[in-house]
Amino acid sequence: MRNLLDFVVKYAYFILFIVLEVLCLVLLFSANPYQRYGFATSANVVTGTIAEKWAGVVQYVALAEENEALKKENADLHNRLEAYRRSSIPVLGKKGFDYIAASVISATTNREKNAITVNAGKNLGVENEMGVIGRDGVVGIVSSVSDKYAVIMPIIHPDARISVKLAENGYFGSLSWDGRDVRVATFSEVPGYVDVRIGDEIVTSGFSAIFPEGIPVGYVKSFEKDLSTDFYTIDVELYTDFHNIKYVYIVRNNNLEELKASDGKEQKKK
Amino acid sequence: MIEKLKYILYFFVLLLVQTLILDQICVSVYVNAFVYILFIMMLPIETNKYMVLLLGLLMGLSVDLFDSTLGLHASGGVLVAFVRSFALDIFSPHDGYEANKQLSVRNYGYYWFFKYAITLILVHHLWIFFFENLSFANMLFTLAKVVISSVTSFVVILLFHLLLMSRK
Repeated sequence: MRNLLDFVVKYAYFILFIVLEVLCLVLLFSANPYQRYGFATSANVVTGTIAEKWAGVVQYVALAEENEALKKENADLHNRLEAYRRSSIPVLGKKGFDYIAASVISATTNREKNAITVNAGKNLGVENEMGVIGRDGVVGIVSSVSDKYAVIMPIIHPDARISVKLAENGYFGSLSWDGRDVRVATFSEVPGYVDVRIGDEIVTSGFSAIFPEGIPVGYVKSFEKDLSTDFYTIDVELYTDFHNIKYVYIVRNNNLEELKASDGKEQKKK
Repeated sequence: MIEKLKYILYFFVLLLVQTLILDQICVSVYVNAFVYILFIMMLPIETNKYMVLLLGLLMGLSVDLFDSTLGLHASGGVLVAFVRSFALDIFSPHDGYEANKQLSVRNYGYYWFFKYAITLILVHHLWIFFFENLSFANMLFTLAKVVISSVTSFVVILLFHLLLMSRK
């Protein structure tokens, strides 16, 4: 006992260092990105409020530019709505999707584990694992929510996986990011017999129930066939410019409750 | 007391510069500047070393809260705080450090500052980028990031040091 005490006293500084490091690394590796509590991320009230106030100051300068972009997007949406009215595509699911608008108040985009904080939270119906899209295409998935703010795990995060497909022929796979280039993600799992061409559009598959089907993601920049597995590895140039992202839409799937309930029933039958 | 208030001010200035300005700037994945460790580097020489560890933790955790990287910068802050005491010993000037004399370019010169700062910056960046990436497969990529970001960080750290701390 005496020896132990001596040891602790002698190496107290080193022991404290080790204890603190272990604590930090446990925090770092134990947090499941989709179950993080809002207070432990940038969605917490203190950092959220500070970032929002600051973003207000910074964005004031860029207001004219942002207005112009919003006008263009509005016109584009009008056109699409018109085209939709004329066509007779049946509505997918009974209740469809809702879009919740939010402004970006903070975004790290040149890290490996990037995060985007927006000013919409539980107060507006945002929940974990909802899809997020921007003006040009898919942005990411909600990874933590507090009352007023939410953190988005963007496509450019090593843990993000998004179910996508080739718009042309419907072959699907998953989209991931390797940390190298903010404009380029990797689309894998496409079998080697599929005809892939540079410039082909990649859209969401709609299989995951997080995104509606057919939201643009990017286009084929280059591809390579792995001869041993006969699968493609496709580099996708992303439509979303993460360096310049001001506002997003969070996608709420109104059929999700029913989908989950029916999933549960089927599993019980088995 | 005034001295303490000054360091509390440095804490908040560097935290906010880091999270609200530097972290929002995007140049390339290779270029990241971390100015928050300047706070740990420049704590007065007579600060209790246990206190330095705890302050390193506090600074790192605060950055983590803004960046949603719980644990990453906290561990980096603690590491810098730990290595600081050894770096101070190794780069000790001939007549040693004087209590109540700020650790600054003005008191100990540019050469001392360069050796001391670049050591802590390299240790910190190696740690941060390794734990962010956590694979040896991308070692070359990680090392390139460490080198380029260290140079960037050094410039920014020197700038803020001269701006905030190295004045009469």
